[in-house]
Amino acid sequence: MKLNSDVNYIVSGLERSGTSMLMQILEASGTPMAIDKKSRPPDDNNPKGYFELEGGKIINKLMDEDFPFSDYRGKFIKITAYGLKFLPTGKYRIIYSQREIEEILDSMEKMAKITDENRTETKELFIKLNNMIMDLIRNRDDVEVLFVDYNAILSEPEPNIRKIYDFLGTEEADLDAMLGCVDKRLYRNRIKR
Amino acid sequence: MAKSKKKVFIPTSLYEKVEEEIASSETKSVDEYMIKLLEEKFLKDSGGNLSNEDEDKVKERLKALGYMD
Repeated sequence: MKLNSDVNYIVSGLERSGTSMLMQILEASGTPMAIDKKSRPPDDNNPKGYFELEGGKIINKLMDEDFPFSDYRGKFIKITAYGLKFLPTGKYRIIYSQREIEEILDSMEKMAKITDENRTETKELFIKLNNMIMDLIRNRDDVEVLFVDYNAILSEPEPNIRKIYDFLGTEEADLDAMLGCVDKRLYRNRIKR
Repeated sequence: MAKSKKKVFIPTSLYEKVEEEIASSETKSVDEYMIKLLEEKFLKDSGGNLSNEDEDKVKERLKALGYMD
């Protein structure tokens, strides 16, 4: 399966918003991916892997204007939200994940092995970051974006994964395999009520 | 410590619309829905850009998570 070789395809969203699950769904579809599985292997926080390049530390390279986008055209890469602030002019198609903010914060605390004493402040900060980045990519002429909802994908996989399938714009993508990726057992940081 | 709270009143018709809206979502109460909606509105209205101080805090957190050096 081929994607447009003039375009950089990106999966994004706040850290811990479900970007790895999206990458997993896309990999199952047969979509070309650029993943470096060795630099940050699967662990308890992401049992199926991080689906990242360079251990996910692309942001530093983006800030230094040193990330080789031309090497990754026609493939999906993962760049978490803050990194999108530093996207150079290009041609991009982005799938951007949103998730309940409390779940994101729970997952961040678990991953960083901390209890956030300033959680209210952190929450406001990351909501603000999310809004800023979503506005940024929505308003760029060189970006086409699909916003998806992690919680909705898990509760109603079929219509939500079909949106991703449609966004890929090719009938070669394996929709059944994409649907088979959704693993509710991994929905570990769901808000307990 | 839990945040202190105040009571507000909304029309029953609006309340019922929110109940319908959240019926098939992860949001489990009208209170929770309204809080989320208002938080997002006021944070959005507070300005599109992060201050330098905010950005430094974001970077600190991303480093702790292993997303930045």
